[in-house]
Amino acid sequence: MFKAISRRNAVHVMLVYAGGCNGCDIEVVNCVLSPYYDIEQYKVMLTWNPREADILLVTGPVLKRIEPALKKIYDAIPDPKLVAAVGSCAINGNVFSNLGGDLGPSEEIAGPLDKVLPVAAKIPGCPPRPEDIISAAASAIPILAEMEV
Amino acid sequence: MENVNFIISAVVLTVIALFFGPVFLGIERKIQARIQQRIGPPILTPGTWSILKFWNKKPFTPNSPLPWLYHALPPATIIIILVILWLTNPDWWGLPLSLSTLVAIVGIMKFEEVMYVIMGSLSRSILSVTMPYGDVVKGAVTKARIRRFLEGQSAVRFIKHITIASFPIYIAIFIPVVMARSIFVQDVVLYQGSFLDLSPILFTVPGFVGAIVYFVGYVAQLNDYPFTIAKAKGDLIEGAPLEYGAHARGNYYIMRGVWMFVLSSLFVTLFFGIPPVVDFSSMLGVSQLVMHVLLTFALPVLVSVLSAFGPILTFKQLYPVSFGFTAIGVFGLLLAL
Amino acid sequence: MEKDRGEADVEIPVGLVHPALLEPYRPRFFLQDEVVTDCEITLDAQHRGIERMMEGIPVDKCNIITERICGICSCVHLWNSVRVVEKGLNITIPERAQYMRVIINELERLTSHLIFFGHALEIIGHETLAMRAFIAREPFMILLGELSGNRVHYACPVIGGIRPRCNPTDDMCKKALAQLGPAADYVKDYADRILQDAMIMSRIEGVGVLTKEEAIKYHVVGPTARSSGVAKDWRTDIPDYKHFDWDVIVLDDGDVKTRVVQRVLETFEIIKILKQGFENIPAGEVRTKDWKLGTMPITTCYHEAPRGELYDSYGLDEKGNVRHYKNRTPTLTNLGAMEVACLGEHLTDAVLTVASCDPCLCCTNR
Ligand code: SF4
Repeated sequence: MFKAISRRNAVHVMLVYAGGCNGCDIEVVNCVLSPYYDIEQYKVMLTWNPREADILLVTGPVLKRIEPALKKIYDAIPDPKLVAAVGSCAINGNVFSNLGGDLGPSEEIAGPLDKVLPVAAKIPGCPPRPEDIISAAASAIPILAEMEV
Repeated sequence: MENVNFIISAVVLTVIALFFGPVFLGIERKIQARIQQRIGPPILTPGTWSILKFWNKKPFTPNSPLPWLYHALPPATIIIILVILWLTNPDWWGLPLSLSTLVAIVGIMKFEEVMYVIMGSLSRSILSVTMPYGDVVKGAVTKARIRRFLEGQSAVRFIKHITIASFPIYIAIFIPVVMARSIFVQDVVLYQGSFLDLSPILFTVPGFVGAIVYFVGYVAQLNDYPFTIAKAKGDLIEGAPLEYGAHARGNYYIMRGVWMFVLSSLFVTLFFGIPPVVDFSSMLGVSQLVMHVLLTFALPVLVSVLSAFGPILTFKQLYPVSFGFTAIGVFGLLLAL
Repeated sequence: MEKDRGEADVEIPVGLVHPALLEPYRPRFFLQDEVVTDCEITLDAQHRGIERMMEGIPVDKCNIITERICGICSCVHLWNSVRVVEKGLNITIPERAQYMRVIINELERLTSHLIFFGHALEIIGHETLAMRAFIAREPFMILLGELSGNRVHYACPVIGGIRPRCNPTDDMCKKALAQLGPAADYVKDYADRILQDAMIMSRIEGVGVLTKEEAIKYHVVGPTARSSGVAKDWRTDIPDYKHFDWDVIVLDDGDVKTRVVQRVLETFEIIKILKQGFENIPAGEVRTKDWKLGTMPITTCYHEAPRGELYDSYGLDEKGNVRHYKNRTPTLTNLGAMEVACLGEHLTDAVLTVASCDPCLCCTNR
């Protein structure tokens, strides 16, 4: 009953910091949700509980230490669900997996994110501009609404 | 004929409560957003649409020792708190139940509170103990025998919360009782005159004191800011309802909304003298119902304003606040004598 | 008051994902009833091995990585890492570049403190005032974006000066100065509003006390130390700050309230520095090319990050590659002290106490 329309009208996002610098996270929590941009007016609400979430925003290169927790959290989200990678770190590991000296780049990284979880949306930038995050959320909502289950 | 009447009114009231409860959730969020100088979500989004969305998600088994009981709690509670609403309806006054008394209503309210304790002890969310992270390793401190989930702590706090923070609302409920000299809802309502010739208790001095105390008790009953220690976001995230997902979370939202509506409706019945009459045969009956529903908006709106400006009170502040308002309530009772 | 690590009945582990921690780390609180008798904070979740990545990397690439140690205080990391080379090879930088570095760094400190207010208020559950903090912060973020081209990673200091991209025109300076006025007024009003709210004050007053002795014993740094009566600010030792007139704020009480008030007062000092910066910024070059990379012995530099003392040290080999990179950030010692400061508090207050040193875990874990 009202499947697509209700999914369009209420979206809960959950944010997981998977080990980047704090740049992307702060942009999401303190900027996109702040009154200046206010993503809630586009019917997107922030939650900290995976059971409530629809979209999982992941920032950072997914460190090995956080990977199991991230997977568990993903499993805890009831279907339908989407994962969005926020920032270059989550998309390709940024400097951490692409720069390195004699000993090579960082070995602590399990990511990038699409090795760990199926990623539906990628928001590039280091950090992405708030406008980009909002427009990504807006374009992810129709996908979510059309999903089976 | 009588039998049919009370069933009809129960059904009508249930529909009203199920519709307006979720709307209240949205209104609350919207008002808070406006106070925070932002546009905020549309009114139907946090309540109605969210609930429909959660119902359209795939059901799953929660991490709980008794998943069926955990999932059954919100629907059961919704039915039980709806009984409060039914009992204040005039068609139910005449039933040979003798339940339309404020003592029975207070008893039913207790159930809603205790339910959170059960809910908290049944939930095992992954956000604390079971989070896969190696923190109990060689060399780590292991002092305590029990590793408690956040929800377990929430249950413990709910027990304390029930004992102290629900005094104000009970005291407030009994101020109209003392004024009408009867515990029957019927007598309290009739004491305030008929609909066309009302002299609400609210506009008397003890009634006004009672209304203030009722308001504080109302916030405490809803566990809304600032009385939200039992599910404080700062440490317990959400507390007891953490594991509700999909349709169960939808039910939980409804429960919250309906509870908001029912307590507000009880306030209108007791302090304005307008019971939720279901009588579509006359203009008078219909306008009485409309008036009743309109007045129920008052408390949620006030709550949203208060909760936008209140930090979480820890027990250190909660005890004096609760006892202070209980004392004011007792003062109101003395005035009412 | 002597604080003992006592016996406990119950343990509550919190994290990795939690609204009060934000970043992934895991405090375990040991409780007796609801009172915290012991606390252990596990930190390693965000370890990226940055020090290890740096071995043998060209120094300009190294600076790209140091900047990404942290997204709240990225400028100070970069600046300090650049200063190591400048100190080791005796590079003097033009005055205009010094001014710009200070301006960007202080703007960043300002946004960082505003995040702290917002975050602390969110933990005590006052969403409205937290949102106000973010309203206050946004003009400064936009200003930073305009001055440097990025809202978070400004990439402003480079060896020998600043990146020419970050060199503002006179018009921009005037505009920034004009913008600074109203934004600073908003911050002032906002700070007054917090400090006059009785409900908030009753939550944070007398909570999480860290005495001066404890602060010295655990080597607490930065605003947390300065609100426990330890007068140490590395900015006083840095020549770039000699152009400015400002004070070090030191308060004595050491509870959460003092930590908030200290940062509020510090915010006013920052605004003072910024005003002087935009007014007096001298004309001229922003970068010298008058240097050559070569062998450099291990050189050590300290700087004052928004949260306290920042330490960087490394040497260069003959090709100009980084050797033996070391970096230590303020949160490590601050969090260690908070394990003690939160003893004897109610659980909710303990979480607040831990957050009141403004922990930044991505720096600490590197
Ligand atoms: S993408 Fe950039 S800003 Fe985002 S977490 Fe990674 S380094 Fe930080």
